[in-house]
Amino acid sequence: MDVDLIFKIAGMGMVVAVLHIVLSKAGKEEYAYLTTLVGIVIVLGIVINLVSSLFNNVKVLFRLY
Amino acid sequence: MAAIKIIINTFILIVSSILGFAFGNLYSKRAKSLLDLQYCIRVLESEIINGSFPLPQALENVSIKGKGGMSRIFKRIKEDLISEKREDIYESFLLQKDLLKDRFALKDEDIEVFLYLGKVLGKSSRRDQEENFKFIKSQLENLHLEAEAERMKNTKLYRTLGFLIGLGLVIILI
Amino acid sequence: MEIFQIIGIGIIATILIVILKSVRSDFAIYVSILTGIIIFSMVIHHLSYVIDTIRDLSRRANLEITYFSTILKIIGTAYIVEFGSQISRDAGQNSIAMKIELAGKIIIMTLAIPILMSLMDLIIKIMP
Repeated sequence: MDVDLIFKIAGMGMVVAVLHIVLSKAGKEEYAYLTTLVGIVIVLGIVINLVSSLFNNVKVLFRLY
Repeated sequence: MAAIKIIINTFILIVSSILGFAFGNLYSKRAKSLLDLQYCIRVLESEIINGSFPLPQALENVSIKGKGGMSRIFKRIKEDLISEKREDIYESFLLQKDLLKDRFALKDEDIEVFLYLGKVLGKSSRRDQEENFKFIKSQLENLHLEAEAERMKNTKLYRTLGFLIGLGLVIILI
Repeated sequence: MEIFQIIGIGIIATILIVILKSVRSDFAIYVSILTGIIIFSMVIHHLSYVIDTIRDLSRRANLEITYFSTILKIIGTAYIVEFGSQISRDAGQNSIAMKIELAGKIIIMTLAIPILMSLMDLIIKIMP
């Protein structure tokens, strides 16, 4: 389990936030919304994998079959 | 392995930044083309109104005196005019439409003004032509101002966008 | 020492979440979920060692293995329920957190029913 992932997600969040600000300043609100959505989906994809691995670990550990 | 990763990531960052710059330059290209076109039309006006040259000669002079790649367009028009023995100069202007669109990043409304020039050129008395030139020049001026405002906004946007998307990709791929 | 690593991760994640919350609160939730998972994964092998020891102990004390596995299941369910409800509470969804906890309680109750039944059997046996 690597700690880099925390920084990765945080970095993604900041990049998406700046993208949102830049795009909405330029008057392209719909693209700003879209980029936010894409960023959230990507991050969700990463996090969901980890959540499922956590659930698997707990299942194996506590014999929750 | 780590070195390769760093190299690839910097490569991605650089490429996306360059892409952003290229997209931004597309908008600055339009403003520059409009400026060049304005200059060329001013030269053409002085050739026709003051110099009283015949049209092919005037076009040739514009292609010599004109600025940027835009002067080449006038040379092409002149060559087309002579080689095809056109009755109507408007058709020669119409042939340059695609080139203007692709090479000079002009929009349809800019090209429309250019084609209007072809429609009125050499068709009426000198006073009418003077009026028409004045009209075309003012219209181009407006378009240039608009393109300039758009350029200011978009160039910055696309540069930031390119860099940020590269950064996002690198963060995902690390 | 692993505890220093874990505390370090926690502090760093807290700082990141505080920074992120002002710009984009949705990403802050992901970071907090991730931090929870990473910290748990770091201590999971310690926990497995503890559980192995307890199982060994129960075998030596001749306890029935079904009771032990039931207790383990209850602990695991409790942990997962806590994890989920904390995440929802962090995101400001108190009602969802309450529902998760309710579901956890019900499931723990159903898991505990066999023990309860055996207890009842024992009481009935003892009573004349």
